[in-house]
Amino acid sequence: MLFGIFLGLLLALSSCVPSAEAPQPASALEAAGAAPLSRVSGHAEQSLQTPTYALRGTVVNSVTSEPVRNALVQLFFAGQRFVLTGPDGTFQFDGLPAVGQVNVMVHKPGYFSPQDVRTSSHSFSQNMRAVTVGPDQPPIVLKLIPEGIISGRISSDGGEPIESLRVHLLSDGIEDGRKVRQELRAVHTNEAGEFRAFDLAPGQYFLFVGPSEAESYPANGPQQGAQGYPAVFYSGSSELASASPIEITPGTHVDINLALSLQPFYRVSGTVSGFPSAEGLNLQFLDPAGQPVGVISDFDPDKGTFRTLPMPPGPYTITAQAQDSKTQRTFFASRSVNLNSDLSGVHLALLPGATIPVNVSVEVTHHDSVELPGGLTRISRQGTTITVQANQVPVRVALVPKDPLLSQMQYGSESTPNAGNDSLAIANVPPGTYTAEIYPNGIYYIQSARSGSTDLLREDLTIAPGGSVQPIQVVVRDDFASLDGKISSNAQADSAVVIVMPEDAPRQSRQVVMNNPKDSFHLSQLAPGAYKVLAVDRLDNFEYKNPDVLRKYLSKARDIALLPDQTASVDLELVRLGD
Amino acid sequence: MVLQIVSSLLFVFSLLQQAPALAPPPQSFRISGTVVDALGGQPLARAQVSIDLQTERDSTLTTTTSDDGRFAFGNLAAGTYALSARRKGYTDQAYKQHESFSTAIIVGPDLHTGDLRFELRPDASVSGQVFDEMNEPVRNAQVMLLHQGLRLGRRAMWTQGQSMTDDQGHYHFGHLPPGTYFVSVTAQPWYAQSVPRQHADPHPAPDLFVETSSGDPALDVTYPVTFFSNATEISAASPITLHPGDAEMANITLRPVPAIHLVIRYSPSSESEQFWVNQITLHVADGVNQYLGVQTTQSGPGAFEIMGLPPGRMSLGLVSSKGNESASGAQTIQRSGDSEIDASDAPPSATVKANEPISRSQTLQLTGDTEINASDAPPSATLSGVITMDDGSPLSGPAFLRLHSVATGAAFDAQSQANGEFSFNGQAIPAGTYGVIIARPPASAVRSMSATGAKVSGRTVEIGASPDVRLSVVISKGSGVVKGFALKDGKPADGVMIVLVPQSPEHNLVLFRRDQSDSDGSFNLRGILPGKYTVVALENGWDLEWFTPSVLQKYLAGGEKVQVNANGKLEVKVNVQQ
Repeated sequence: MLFGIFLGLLLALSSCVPSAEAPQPASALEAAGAAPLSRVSGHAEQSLQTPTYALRGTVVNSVTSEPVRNALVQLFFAGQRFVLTGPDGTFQFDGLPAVGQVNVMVHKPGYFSPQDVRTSSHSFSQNMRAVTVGPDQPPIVLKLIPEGIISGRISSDGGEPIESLRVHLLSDGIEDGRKVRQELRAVHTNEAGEFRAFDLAPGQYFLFVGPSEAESYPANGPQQGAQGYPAVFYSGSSELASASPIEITPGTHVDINLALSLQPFYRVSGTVSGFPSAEGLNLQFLDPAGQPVGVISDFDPDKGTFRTLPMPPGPYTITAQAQDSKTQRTFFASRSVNLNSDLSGVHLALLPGATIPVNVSVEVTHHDSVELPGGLTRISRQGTTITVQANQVPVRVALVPKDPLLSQMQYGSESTPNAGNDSLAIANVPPGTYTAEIYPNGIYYIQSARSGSTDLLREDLTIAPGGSVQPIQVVVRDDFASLDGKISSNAQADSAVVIVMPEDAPRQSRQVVMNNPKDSFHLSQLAPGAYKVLAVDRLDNFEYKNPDVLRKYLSKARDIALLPDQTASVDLELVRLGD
Repeated sequence: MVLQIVSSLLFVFSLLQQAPALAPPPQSFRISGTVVDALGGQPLARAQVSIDLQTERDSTLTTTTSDDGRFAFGNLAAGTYALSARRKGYTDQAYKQHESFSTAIIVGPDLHTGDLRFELRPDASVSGQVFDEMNEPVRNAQVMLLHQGLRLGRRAMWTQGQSMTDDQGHYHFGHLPPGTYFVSVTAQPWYAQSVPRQHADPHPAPDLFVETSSGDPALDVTYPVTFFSNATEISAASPITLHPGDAEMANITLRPVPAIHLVIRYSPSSESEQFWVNQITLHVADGVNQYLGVQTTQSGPGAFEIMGLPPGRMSLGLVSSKGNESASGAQTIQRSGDSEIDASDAPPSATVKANEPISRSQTLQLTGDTEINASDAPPSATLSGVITMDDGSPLSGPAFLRLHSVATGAAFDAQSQANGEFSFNGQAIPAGTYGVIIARPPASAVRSMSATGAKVSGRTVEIGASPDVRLSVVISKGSGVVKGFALKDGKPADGVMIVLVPQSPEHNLVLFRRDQSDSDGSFNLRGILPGKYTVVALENGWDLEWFTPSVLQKYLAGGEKVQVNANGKLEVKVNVQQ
């Protein structure tokens, strides 16, 4: 039956494949690959009048320059055509009218396109490469960047393979202008203690293995009690800070062997108090990397007592969180322990999270707004027209934990349901240190934001356990400034990003992404004050919120002072990152 | 002993109670023995041996065997210990392990727990590489290892493991018990593109298709499910026979075929009606189904196109839902071997309650592009009912009820409300016979059932053509206990399979209880519902199709008949049968 289907496909295709270019009878794909050539005959009438051209090329490995066979080359022009490269890596598209530029894209498992690697973006348009079709067009060379591979073997110090151990691969990325180290992948060792991570883009990686569960409980001998394998960073350190980075360049295959020793594991027991009900209680042990480790083996909801299974020695943060479903309040507790023996009597007292009122003063200096139907308000000023919902809250405040280890959550201001529409608060915030991100709505800018003596535009906010926090006072004004500008660049650039930084409050930076750097830009609703303005060619992989990274480029930034109700102009030079 | 039960309530079987009233100070006891290779019998050095006192949590102790394979634990208190061992190249095992049962070591006065012979079975494995039609490795292919053998006393096929190939196309399944296996591979060609078949719509609405796909129809291919060695049907697949210690290689080459497009037409009876494809499962082998991740597009009003499908038999779960109106269903379609749907059968209608989604289930054998009209398919049975306790007490919380297909092993779950009302809303339950199992409250089971719209036999329900089934399920806390000894020639025998056989066994799988006799010959069957049973002890029961009534029949006469009452505790002695 299968044969019938297969034959059917071949027959269907072969009827339209010129016999001279009949595919090698290797596969359905190669047969299929020849099919689009038949579409050339669809353009036959046209080609009588206009000459057609061929696009020839080779796909090569960017490192070895060796040809890459069986790569899929797609050409986008009035639809799509594709071919597979031959054994010598060559390909050819025939019957193309001289349309100027067409886009081509190349794929092959185990390889990245250069665009993939440069922008770390896999969007369709960015994987395209524009090539010119016409007379005397020389063959093009398409490069594929071979993937990196990290493989290895984990064994005990006696040389026995360790099976089912987790191997974590971390890499640094940039998110919203900040550097974040994130887990890219986790794989397990097999029976032979081996692991393999492939499809790795060039870059810097960190690797750690373990911890295991308790592996043995020696009944006799000098070492009694539970033993297991602790977490170990390559190349043997117990902490990320002293881990060795693994550099992956295109096509590198790094082989790693780690030998681990059994270590005593210890238990923690103790009590939790102050939780409204056991249903919503969550108790976690976090290692220094913020990974949950350890298993609670016993929990008695009546007494609040808990006990863990044996876990590796080292520093831990124990966190407890509980929710009261009736009052919607959240309770928190956390404490640090350093585990180097069985630990009992650890007590966590849950306290309610902070609820911080947000008071907003709106200073209105203009009365030029126009009421529109549908509850909208519009103003036109300094060349900008802004339409907003009239009843929108003037500002949103979000608290972002400084220590991303404990929580990836943000805590945002919301209207408190019982206290009327104008009353805002941030509810259930656990103790910790936070950066306040303040987003004005509508026609306002933020003139100041404080909690007690803390200037939230420039300083972090610290919330003590169970402590109360001074209300957040935000002053917004409507006499904003605007900035017009354009970018000059000698080189061709696909896009540009303008970063506008208040000199004394870099946190309040804003960015404008320009798809066409030749356009001018206009930015309004800026707070009056002194600014540095910088134009760069991309934001990808640019840690612009790190002052040390930014300093390098600040000499190319323009200084400008913005005044209330005024528009300033600036000419910028495009800075190519990495230059 | 049943392995997975770790409970402080575990009954400590003790002859200690018979110890003299003036007991000497607590004695200390010993467990010792030798770990040997199950095949060659040679002692195994450096094996890790563990014991766990069953009445105490986290009481594990481990030791390592010496060069002559010996291990010993001394200074032990009397009690029931689980014994297990592991070593590189061998499967982790409990002592005399069979399925999830093993022989626990009972330690106490006058019990012999030295010189145990612990046979450890060498590991077996299946590994291989998956290649494409260009003879290049296929990465990220899904590989399934199917095990054919005895499960719950009858012949069955089940999924032993799943794995993904790496960049070299490698897969590996280790630590396998001996038996008969098949390997299947599911993958998409890396270059494949799904292209909507616009011509599949007989009433094209051109405006809808302005947005053309960038895909090329010639790349609209897929790999059929492929079995070792390069078969596309399990009937043509090569079985892999694994003995202990075997390391078999099974390489597979995939060949693309045109991807099948399935157009599902559905005429909504009102604008508020919504329709979607809930799930697609591919029938890989009897009892083994695989969920397919497929792309669905709405190719026009009332037409859905599922792309990238491999050929084969598959079940579609289709759901329609509408606001507050009632809906009607239509004819039955259970197709296999044909892809043309005849819509001419007269549709019987059924009224469905407002607000409840209607589920339909269709089985199709796909060999080429297919179009079906889902409006013609009948809504699957809407199954609802009520669960009550046999003693009239209220449920302690929501109950979980599971329907277990006798033919395919497919399972469907429902959770009751606090008052016991349950419904399988939104789940397409195909016609067939189902065992009814209560998963919660724990240790409870169906005592009796009645139904409207379906036929009930014992603990099974046969769902047929009726669109509306209501089940009334009375459940009982299984609280009876039967304990005792397995005796061979009048002496306690360990490692023996003990089966508690209900009356009408074929309809009462859920009433069966099993155990394995421990080192002193004792066994303990718990969670038993009131009723009449026969306890049989089978020396070679582990290789027996005991769920086949005719197989079990000849052993019943040699068993012990018991009548278990609620909370009843019985003690029996059972003679071991060959």
